[in-house]
Amino acid sequence: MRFMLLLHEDEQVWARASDAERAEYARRHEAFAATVRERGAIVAGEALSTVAAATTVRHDGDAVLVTEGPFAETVEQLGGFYVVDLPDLDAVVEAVALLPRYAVEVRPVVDADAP
Amino acid sequence: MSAARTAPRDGGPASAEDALDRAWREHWARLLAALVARYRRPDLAEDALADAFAAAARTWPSDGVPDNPAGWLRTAAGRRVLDRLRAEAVALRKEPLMVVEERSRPGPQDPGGEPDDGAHVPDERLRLVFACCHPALAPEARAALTLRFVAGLGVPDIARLFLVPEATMAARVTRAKKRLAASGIPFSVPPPGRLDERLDVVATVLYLVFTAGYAPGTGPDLVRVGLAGEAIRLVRLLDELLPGRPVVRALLALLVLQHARRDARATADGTLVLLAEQDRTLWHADEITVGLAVLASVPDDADGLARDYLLQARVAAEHATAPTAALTDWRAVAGHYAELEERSGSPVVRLARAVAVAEADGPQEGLALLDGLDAALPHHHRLPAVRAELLSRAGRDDEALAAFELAIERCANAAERAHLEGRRRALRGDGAPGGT
Repeated sequence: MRFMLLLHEDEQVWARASDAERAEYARRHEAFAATVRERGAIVAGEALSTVAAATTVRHDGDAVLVTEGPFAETVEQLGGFYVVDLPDLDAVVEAVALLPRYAVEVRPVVDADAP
Repeated sequence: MSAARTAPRDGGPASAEDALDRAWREHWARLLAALVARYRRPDLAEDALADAFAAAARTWPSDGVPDNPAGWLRTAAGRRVLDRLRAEAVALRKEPLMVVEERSRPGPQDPGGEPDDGAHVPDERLRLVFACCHPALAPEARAALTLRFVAGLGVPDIARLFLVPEATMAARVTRAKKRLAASGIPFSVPPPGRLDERLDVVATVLYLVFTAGYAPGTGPDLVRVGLAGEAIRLVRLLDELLPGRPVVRALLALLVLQHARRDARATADGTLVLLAEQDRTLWHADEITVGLAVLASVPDDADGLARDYLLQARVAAEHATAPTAALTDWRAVAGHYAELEERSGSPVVRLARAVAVAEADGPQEGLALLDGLDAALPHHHRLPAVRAELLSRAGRDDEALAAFELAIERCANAAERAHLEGRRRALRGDGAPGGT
């Protein structure tokens, strides 16, 4: 079963992190990846640039509106994502527990060909 | 049931109804658990099983009861799940952009294997309980799902149990069912390292299932022995799976001791019999012995939820071992309730404590403990019922009558209401003394 993991964190936390703290982030992502691979696979995963670089595109009737900034202004921003293939939610939670202290939204991916 | 094979119409519609009723009581949870385990779609499984029972209700009276009712229902329900899965797959293939190659993942065909009525997988229902009690579900959804899926209770009964409107509970169950099907919650018993943290919520939910069986609130039956017995069976399974857990042992002791009194709790015509007036020879002495032995195995220093159950089990043990109501150690009972009330602050516990205190120290002391409970229990029929009883004992008949009126007005259970009406008649002096 595939899950998308949406990783949220206040961007300032990363911006202010020391080198040692950043190394700890990397170590935690590696631990997460190793645990996922024991029982499944990482299908995709990326870190995103900050919301300062975000553009939001909306439809307004026939017009297309392009605005600067993220879809929603929040304290914690979407900073990255993974798509993992794991047996169930418990396996996902176990792996996510190893990541840095993000708020992680776990969303099952809709399987077009699954029963 | 060999007659069913030689004479399909044997017994006619009445026996078909009995067979259906029995099948529902004995097989609902097992069949549902087996369907969920096989297809991993609790939403479809539940609908399909309900459909299968509906089909049985249509066909068994005319075609005769099948030799193996559980097998018949399983086959019918499994066929319906497959129909729905195929329909979903076809709907998806009609979406041109969604066309994908066949993957190795099993498609909408029966995974095969021997016909399975769940009998050889003793903990299948327990797996379903753990799934229904998963922390990714909202707490109020967990018990509702367990009652629907594991106990097969209808939405109206679940709603009454939680004191919410039926529409609210229907929406809650539907939402929870979808979430259970879609969120990736596993249908398995958690690994050993994770088991204990999930135990308290499972224990809480199973106690609720037992409660639902013991005093369902609506309908003519005071005790649904089957449901309460099923809850005990599940707690025993939990105890086997996780030997020596205080919370499970304490709960098991509590349930066994309470359940041992079931046959004395109502007369043949469904009239409630209060504890004090029960024929104690109808209590199951062998089960009380078992309950006391389990209780003795709970450590004295059990804390948390285990302590709550331990105290309640000790109350049940005091009753179970007293030769008569009058010879009950009411002071000990009141002491257990006092500790429980201190731990929980529950107005329902205070109500029970008031009864015990009234027995030990007199009705005035009991009535004093009822002060201030009305705001906390505004719709509870037992508060005016207890107050009426104590007022009557204190000789304040007019106030007692008014309290009985209120209790009768609030009481939704037919058997309990009949008892209250009998007490009111006795107090008015216009009939045979009720409840004695």
